[in-house]
Amino acid sequence: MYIIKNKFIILLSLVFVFTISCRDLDELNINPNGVDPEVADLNLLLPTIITGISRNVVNLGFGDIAGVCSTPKKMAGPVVIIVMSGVSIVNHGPVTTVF
Amino acid sequence: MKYKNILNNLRDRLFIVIGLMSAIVFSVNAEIIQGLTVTGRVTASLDGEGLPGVNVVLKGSQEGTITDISGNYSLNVVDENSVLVFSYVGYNSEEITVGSRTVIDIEMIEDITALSEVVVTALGIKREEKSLGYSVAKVKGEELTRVVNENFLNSMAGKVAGVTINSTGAPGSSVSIVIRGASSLSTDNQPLFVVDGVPIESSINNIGGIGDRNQVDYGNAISDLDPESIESVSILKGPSAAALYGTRAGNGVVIITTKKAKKGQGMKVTISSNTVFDVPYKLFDVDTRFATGFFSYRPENVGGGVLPDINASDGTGAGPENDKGYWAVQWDAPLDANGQPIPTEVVSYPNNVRNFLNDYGFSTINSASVSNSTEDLNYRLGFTNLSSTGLIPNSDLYRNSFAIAASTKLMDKLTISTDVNINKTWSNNRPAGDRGTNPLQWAYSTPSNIDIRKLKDYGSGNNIKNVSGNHQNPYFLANEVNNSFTRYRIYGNVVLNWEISPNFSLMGRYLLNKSDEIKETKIAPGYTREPNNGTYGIVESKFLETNTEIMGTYKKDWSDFSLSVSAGGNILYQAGASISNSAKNGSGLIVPNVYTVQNISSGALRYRNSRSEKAINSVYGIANFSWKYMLYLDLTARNDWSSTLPPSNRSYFYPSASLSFLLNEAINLGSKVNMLKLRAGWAQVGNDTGPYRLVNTYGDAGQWGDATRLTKSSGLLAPNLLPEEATSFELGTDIKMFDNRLRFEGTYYTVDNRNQILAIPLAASSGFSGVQINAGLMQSKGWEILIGGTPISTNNWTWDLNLNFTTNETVIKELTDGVDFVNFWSSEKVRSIGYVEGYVSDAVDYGKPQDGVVGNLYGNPIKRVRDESSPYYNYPLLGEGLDAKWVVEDELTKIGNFNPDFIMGLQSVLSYKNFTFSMTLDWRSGGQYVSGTWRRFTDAVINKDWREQLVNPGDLGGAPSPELKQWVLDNADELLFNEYLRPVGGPTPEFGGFPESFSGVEVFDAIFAPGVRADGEGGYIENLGEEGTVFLPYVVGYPWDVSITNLFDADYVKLREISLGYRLPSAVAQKIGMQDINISIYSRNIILWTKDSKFGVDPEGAYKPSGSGFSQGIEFYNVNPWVLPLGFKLGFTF
Repeated sequence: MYIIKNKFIILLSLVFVFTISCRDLDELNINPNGVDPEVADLNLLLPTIITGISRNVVNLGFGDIAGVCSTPKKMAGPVVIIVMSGVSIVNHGPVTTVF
Repeated sequence: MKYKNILNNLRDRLFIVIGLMSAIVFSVNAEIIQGLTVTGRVTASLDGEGLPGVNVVLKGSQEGTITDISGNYSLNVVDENSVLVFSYVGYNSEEITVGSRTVIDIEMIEDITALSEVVVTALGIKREEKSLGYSVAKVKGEELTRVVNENFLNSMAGKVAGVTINSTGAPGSSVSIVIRGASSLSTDNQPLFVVDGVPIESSINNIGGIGDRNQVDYGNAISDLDPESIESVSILKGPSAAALYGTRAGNGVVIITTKKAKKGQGMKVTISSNTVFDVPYKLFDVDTRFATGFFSYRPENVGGGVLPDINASDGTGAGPENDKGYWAVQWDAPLDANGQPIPTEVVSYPNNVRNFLNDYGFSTINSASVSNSTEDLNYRLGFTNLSSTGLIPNSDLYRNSFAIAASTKLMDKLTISTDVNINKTWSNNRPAGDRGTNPLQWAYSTPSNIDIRKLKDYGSGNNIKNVSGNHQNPYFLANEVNNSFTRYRIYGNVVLNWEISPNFSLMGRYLLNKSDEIKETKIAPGYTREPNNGTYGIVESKFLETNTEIMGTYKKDWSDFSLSVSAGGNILYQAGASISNSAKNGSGLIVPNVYTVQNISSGALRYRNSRSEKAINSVYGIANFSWKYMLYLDLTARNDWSSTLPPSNRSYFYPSASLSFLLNEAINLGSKVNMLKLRAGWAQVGNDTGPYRLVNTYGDAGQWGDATRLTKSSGLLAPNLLPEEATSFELGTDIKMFDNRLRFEGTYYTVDNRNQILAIPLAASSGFSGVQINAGLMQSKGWEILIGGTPISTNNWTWDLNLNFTTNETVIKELTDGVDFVNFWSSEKVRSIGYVEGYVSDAVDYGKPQDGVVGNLYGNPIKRVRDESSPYYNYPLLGEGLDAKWVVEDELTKIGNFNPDFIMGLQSVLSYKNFTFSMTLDWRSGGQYVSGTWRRFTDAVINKDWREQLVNPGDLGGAPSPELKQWVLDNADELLFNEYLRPVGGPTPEFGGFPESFSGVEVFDAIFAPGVRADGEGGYIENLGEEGTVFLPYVVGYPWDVSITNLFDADYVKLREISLGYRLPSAVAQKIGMQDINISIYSRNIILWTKDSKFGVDPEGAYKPSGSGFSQGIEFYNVNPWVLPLGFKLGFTF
């Protein structure tokens, strides 16, 4: 009977030991929900900037300064980027290295 | 035979364990000396049952034994003069001289005050309260279920010093508990809950709702707990008490122990049933005296006869007076033969909101449990069901809780135990708060001249019956905007306890807390802000936390000195994931009434998911020293390694020390003083941060044609973040006198919270909007006082009174260079800003140094003439045209603070024979709140409170005159120099209304704001009631920008609980085969008094959901009726 009990204790301890394993704290804090800046292709930020600016300009065209820019919506993006890229640099800080 | 030996052996060892838990260690290997053997039975005076585990000691020696499971003992004594000492935790000790007897049976009397002296402290360690160097508040389970609440936290309001509990809304809403004041600027300051060792975080941020302006509070995690299964609650208030919990203990810890089978109790079945009706008795005072409209026409203004059409779309309550026999074409007017609407009488429907609501809210909580204790197994199985329907039609809340607690001996010295709780909480519809889909908003906004019941058949599709395009149908919102949720939560533990020797024990445990929640919103076509067939969305979130812990304890007693040392380690792991699919706001569904994700067109679909993980590894140690039962020293230390912090800062050490000194043991204070304890504690704990707060990743901005787009966040993260660090110090004294009939506890504490994790703004030229940093120092100071007494204690009568008092003030001592304040929220022209102490700016309080108190509210003061040489100095300087009323300065002034000055709770329990009458009062004094409802209803001119505050000039009304001006000047203190200015005049001549003309019709419904107007050349034009005064229609009289107008004192007194219970005499109960039968009637949370909220807002509900949290101090359409609950409770035990 005692042998059975001893085995039981050993088994229980083993189960416990296996459930305890220190987590690797470094691995855990890597954000899986976004693109790691270390490995990201920074060029992929450019389309966001281009479309963002063109959208702003289109909005200006239909809103505040209607008439200044009468380019159709689809056209607005590529046309404006050349003119406005300077502004985007200011607004996106570290991304400037791309340009 | 051998089997029996083993069993006996096992039994003996069991009693050793019990003995150990009684904190007094004896050797059972009693040496047989000489003399007599005394035997006997120890029973409890309460129920006459045998008491197992009672220590029976020969006085003046180490010899002794422990009673067995039926209370029997046997002990060898020296001679007839030997004295036996019987002691047992929770009972008065008895000393009996043996004399000539060989059989000594005794009854032990329960020590009422001593029972509460054992408290559960950090890591579930039971300690005698007198040995603690810090304040621990405790609430027994029966206190929590005497009057049952959906959320057990509500049952603690008013009972504990140092704790602020606020219900944010109707039953089922989140409940906030803040211990010793808010000390963190970036978190919601909620404590950590630990249920049977399982840590449960309960942020008040479970706010959701899909669709435009559909904001729903789904209740915080802690609301899943079943009050019926709680045995006791300990609140570790300060870091001293909580330091052992390390990282998450910064806001205190609430330790909950669930019910278990008691050793030797036998088979027990308990059934209880609670039913409570919430009967509304007070609603927000909407003005039903005037119909909807902009002008208060009377027949004489329009040449007699029928009034101009009354259009509900005006959305205001400044139209013709109701119930005066006036006639007009109104909404839903009958049509004549030509299809023309026919005028009907203008009458009021003052009970609109009451008619909209259900007659009563109804909650029932039924609970059953089976428990048993045998030599081999202790177990308790419990099941509780909660069903609740709210006052708002089609709102409900349900909960099923299943709990199992069991423990058994695997071997002589090895105990395994487990507690598992499985809960399902769900609702078919939680009514939305805030504005938009909130049915109450629109029930109140229904024009007073329209019978709300006409809206009950609200139609369907594009034909929702509405009084106008500017209104929503409250019945439609209640029934067709469904915010449902289902939340499963499993939490529990498996604990192994190995008593290796009487001195040394080892504990290992695995703790789990897992929740799965699905929230769905289904909005049918008809909500005007979701015009494309309504909307749909589903959000699923999962959360898991596991803790694996090992702790070894060594205890040793010497004659004057005893020592207990524990050391342990813990691994915490958390994982969360959520996925959300919904239609973008306003985009709606393809086919109406089909609530699937595929029924959202791809361009309109908003979809996202996220995951997060976190781990904290910890080691800790505790050492308790005691000397002559007089001096107790506790030292604890814990080191945490958190994954959310950078490797270099990840390791954190939290020490604590506390000292308890029993003066009554050291010097003789006479027999009147039972205890005089002095205590002091010092500790450090921290708050780490959430996962992934160190480095920004690029987000996905979605495809643009074929182009992949990444985005970079505008906020910077700091890779070198430190945890917040709270250092606390507390001093206190506990006094018990006159056989414990007078009790006093007083504590003074300070908490310095450093390294606040703050987002500070950055200049746009940096390319970022802000950065997260560690900065600042917040200092909280406060007093907690508890005075208890038992003025009456006779055989039949007992009266217990407990008074508790709490104050706290938290001051921002430091922030960081270039940052002088933190914005908490800004709403309804009021801002909650935390300025650093001593901040001086001309733009705030005219250059007065700021006190830095957290919770301060700021607003723009009324614009006044500032030129001291002017005869109009300090007169209100009005705006122009329709704004010829009070306007505001650009500067801010402090107008209040949302925290109370003090909180006082009073508990009274009076019992006579088997009757018990108890009540709990809760008084919050001081503090202010902003009522957004009051403001918006005033702007819509449907606020009776506002109308009643108009200044009636009496006979001087009706026309401008020099006498009127003189009257204004005579009353200048009230009409010009007061902080709370009100217009003169009103909607009809009865109110002293002044004439104004509108498209040729003169109506006497104008008011004017006393003051002066700028003439544009540096001079002033009087606006005091003489000719030249600008009269405005009543409908535009409310100064929208003046924040102080809608700021109210939050003081209130609530009767948290009142109950009358009757327990059947046990003889009677036993005759019908029961152990216990009790019945009670009760009520709860009745607003007895408010200083400033008579118009019908509950100041406690001054919490506005905003984003993922709550803004404290602002009430916004949180206008649940004041209710008078009536509850019944029936309990059986057999």
